[in-house]
Amino acid sequence: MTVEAGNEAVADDEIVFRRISDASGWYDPASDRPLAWLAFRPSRRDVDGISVWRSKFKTAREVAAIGASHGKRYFVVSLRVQRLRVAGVVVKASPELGGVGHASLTNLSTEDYTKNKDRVREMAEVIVRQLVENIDGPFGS
Amino acid sequence: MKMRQATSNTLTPEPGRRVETGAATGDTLATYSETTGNRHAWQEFIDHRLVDWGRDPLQLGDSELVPPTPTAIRRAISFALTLREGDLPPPKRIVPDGDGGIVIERWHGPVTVSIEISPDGLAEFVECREGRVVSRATIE
Repeated sequence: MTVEAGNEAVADDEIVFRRISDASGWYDPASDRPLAWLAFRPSRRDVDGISVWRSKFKTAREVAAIGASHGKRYFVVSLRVQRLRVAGVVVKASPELGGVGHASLTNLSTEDYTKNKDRVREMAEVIVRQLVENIDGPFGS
Repeated sequence: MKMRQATSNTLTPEPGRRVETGAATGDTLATYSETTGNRHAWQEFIDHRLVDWGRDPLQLGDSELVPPTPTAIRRAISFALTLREGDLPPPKRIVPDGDGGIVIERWHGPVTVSIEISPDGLAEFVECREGRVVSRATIE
């Protein structure tokens, strides 16, 4: 039995991409803390967890372009799955939510944030302070 | 002798001794400059960030980002004015939270303090140390 592309489990050695709107101000290369924890604060739309994209299926530029709003620019943050998992972040393939290559950080969901803001804040702080491999962009017009 | 000594003390201080004249000193000038700088920085955030968002909230909005509500913006401006008048150092970051709220942050060394303003204007003060939340309190 074969697993359809994108449905297979996310491997530890994979890289996932997180897209960030330039307009948000969450990434400021000139700051002594360039990436704000807010980049990993679940929004009300993140009911299944924060969306990420698997680099084995999409490039950073392609991720920036997915559903991009006209005239907006985006940065793309690279994260290594193994390091996320060591930090306690659950990474699961979820192509049913966003197509092939989509994955979710399932314990960074709207409900998680509502129930325990401090835990989610601390996890987001760990990600932005210690786990970011690279930030590309901005992409877009 | 007494007279001379008095004269010596008031008019001809020994070398290196500072004469207090009532005019601004280096210290007071620095404080004045810092105060002015703080006020200016706060005003920049108010005028060029918060007021701008109020005028044109769509500059922030896209498919993944809900711009701050007018209520959140008003509350943020209110905080900014209060903190400016209290001569507190300006924030290092004022950003939308993505859900219609606003976060004001400042950090120094391991300590980060945040004011998290929700879309309906409710506010919380959060203090973190080395990325760990050490206190969270509602601001009335």
